[in-house]
Amino acid sequence: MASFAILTDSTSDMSPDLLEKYNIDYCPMNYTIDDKEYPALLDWSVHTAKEFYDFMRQGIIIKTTQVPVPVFEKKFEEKLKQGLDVLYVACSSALSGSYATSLNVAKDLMEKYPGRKVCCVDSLISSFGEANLAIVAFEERNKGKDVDEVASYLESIRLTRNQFATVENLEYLKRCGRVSATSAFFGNFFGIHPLIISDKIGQNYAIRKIKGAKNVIPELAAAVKENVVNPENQILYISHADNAEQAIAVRDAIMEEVPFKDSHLGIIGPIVGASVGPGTISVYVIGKEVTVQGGVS
Amino acid sequence: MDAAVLTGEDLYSLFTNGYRNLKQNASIVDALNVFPIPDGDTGKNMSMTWLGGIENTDKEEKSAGKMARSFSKGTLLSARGNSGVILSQFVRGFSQGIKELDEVTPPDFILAMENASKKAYAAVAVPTEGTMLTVMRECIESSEIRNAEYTEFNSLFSDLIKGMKKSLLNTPNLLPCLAEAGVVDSGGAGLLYLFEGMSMALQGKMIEGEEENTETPDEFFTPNSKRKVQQKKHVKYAIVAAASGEGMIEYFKNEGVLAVIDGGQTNNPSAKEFVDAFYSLDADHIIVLPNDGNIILTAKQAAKIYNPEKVHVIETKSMAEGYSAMSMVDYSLPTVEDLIHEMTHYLPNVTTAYITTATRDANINGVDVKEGAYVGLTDDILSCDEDITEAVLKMFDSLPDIDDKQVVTVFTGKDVTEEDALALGDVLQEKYPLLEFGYIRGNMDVYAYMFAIE
Repeated sequence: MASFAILTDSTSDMSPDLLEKYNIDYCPMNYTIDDKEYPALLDWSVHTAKEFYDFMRQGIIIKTTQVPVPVFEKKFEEKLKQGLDVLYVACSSALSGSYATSLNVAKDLMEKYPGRKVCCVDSLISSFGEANLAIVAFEERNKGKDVDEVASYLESIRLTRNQFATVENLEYLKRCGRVSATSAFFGNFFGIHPLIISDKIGQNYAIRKIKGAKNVIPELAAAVKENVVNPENQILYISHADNAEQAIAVRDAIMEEVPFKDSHLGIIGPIVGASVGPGTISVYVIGKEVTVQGGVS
Repeated sequence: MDAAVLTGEDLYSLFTNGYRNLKQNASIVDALNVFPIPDGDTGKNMSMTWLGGIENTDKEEKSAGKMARSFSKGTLLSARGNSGVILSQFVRGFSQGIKELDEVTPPDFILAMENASKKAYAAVAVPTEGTMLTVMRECIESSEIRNAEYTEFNSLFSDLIKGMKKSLLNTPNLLPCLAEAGVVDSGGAGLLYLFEGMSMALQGKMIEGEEENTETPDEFFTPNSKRKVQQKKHVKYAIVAAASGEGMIEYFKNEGVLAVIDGGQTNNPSAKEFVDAFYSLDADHIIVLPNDGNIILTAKQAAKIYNPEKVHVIETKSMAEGYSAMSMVDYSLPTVEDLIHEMTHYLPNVTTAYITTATRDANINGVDVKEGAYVGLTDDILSCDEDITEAVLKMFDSLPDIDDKQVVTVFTGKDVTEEDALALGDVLQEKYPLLEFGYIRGNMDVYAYMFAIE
């Protein structure tokens, strides 16, 4: 019998298969198209991924909102009522207010259910970096650790989750303020593809520029090679925003250079997708601890 | 409205008019949004949150306490964004403060506001000053409010708004990112619009219509806002570039070159002009882009005169090369060597090509040149044709490494229209589907087009 339930949120980009395999539930955020609000479901049952990213390609602006308080309350309380403590692995607090909100909900619920635990962990990353931490929580729980032990373990390892991403159009990240770099970094230039990491406070940080689309894949592979630790024991995770073809090319290039045990390809969910835009490719590996911090965004 | 006490119905009018005023000014609030995530939706989030409150009430509810309770419940459910969550907790605190009362007096209202501000602070894991939290707290801390014994609401609201404004205008002094952006806090501004709307309701002025204000009031910008004045300040890296042609000078300035030396008609600036430019800057390192093979020596000479340790000349032989170097700039790099490395990384790969008009007949490099026809050239003359598109296509065709290139930036001369440039671009894109094309208005005098082919 599991001692606690593991939850994440819409930015973990976990497919229904992954969620089921690792017995993980999630708290949906919302996205808004033309003032109409939809839950950001990871099974794409509201809009398909293709529809969603085609909206963006047509220039429709999709806004996102954090996990609403009532959603947290419902999800957390449901687990508490089943006799389970709760571990919530949250989207980076630099990208979403969900983590901050979850702490308040947790506090209220722990007052309502004395002796029970609701632990919230700021993953300081999103997409498969966040998902990976939730999966680690599952593995650690299987080893018999309790919710506090697992939460502090996740906090001790979270900065070793490395992100290497590249976007097709920086406008999306700039528009929603979710990329940190001086404004002069992105001038009126063409053919520049930024390499975006998740920095030590969980911001997306454009760490360097790659010129020319053909150079993107080798540069991504080089970044993975330089930073990864013990690839033979890990799965290479790649998420993409409706750009499977390039994601496969990236995977093949990396697998050729670095001996990962296996690889997993998935699609970027609606919340992360709305801020990074169609075409984005994001690679996640376990590597060196992130020490870089970008400027104030 | 009897302004000595507020009933449930009075509160309903206040809430409604607060919403209408915020809604009309939501775009202004959105535009101020730089903290914590500058996504430009504070106004919208706050108004949607507030509207959720109104929709959850019964407008005929007589009891103020009950009205506030259903309003609060509605805002909790509809809260979105950081600002919305804080606002909903503020409302929750307010509603708890008057929950037993059917009628609210000004002193009750002040007490409820105190509780509201406490709840709002508690809603945030790490409360930050200089945000709407500060405005919520400070508006009831003024000596007027502390000392006055209000018997009616009009004067209370007038003082509350005065306090809010004062607190709001001070937010850039508390939160550096506001000062840097030169704006006041967006959430605080949203709160002010809510209370201004409520105050208008007290005076019987209910807002009608859907008109939207988009012009941000001047007082919401700080006096030393960088949007308004530019002053000389110390920088780690400064870039100086030579350029000719109004459009290119403007372009380099816009892309962050701190001093542009105008090469003039002859494109032959003096060392003194460079040295003067170096003295006009306050930088740890100065990087120079001469942007012409004939200016490199002058720039080096100037560096020697000024301070060879501090001035670094990147030997860009054309403005297209200067453009390429600028495109790789990253001021966050730790050392000037790193920065120069990035800026020069792709330079060997840049081909600069031009289209101009022939001034006489000639046969050069095996190309028959006719006076008045269009000539395509790099270091050598590569093509000539009466038709400009043909001249460009032939030139591209004779570039030996065109298949290795990825990005072409097209700078247009002063006589080229945007339409011409895009039509030419379409033809090129069709012929070279793997190349990525970008367009910049260069307004050069001598050349119809300049291409940075990388």
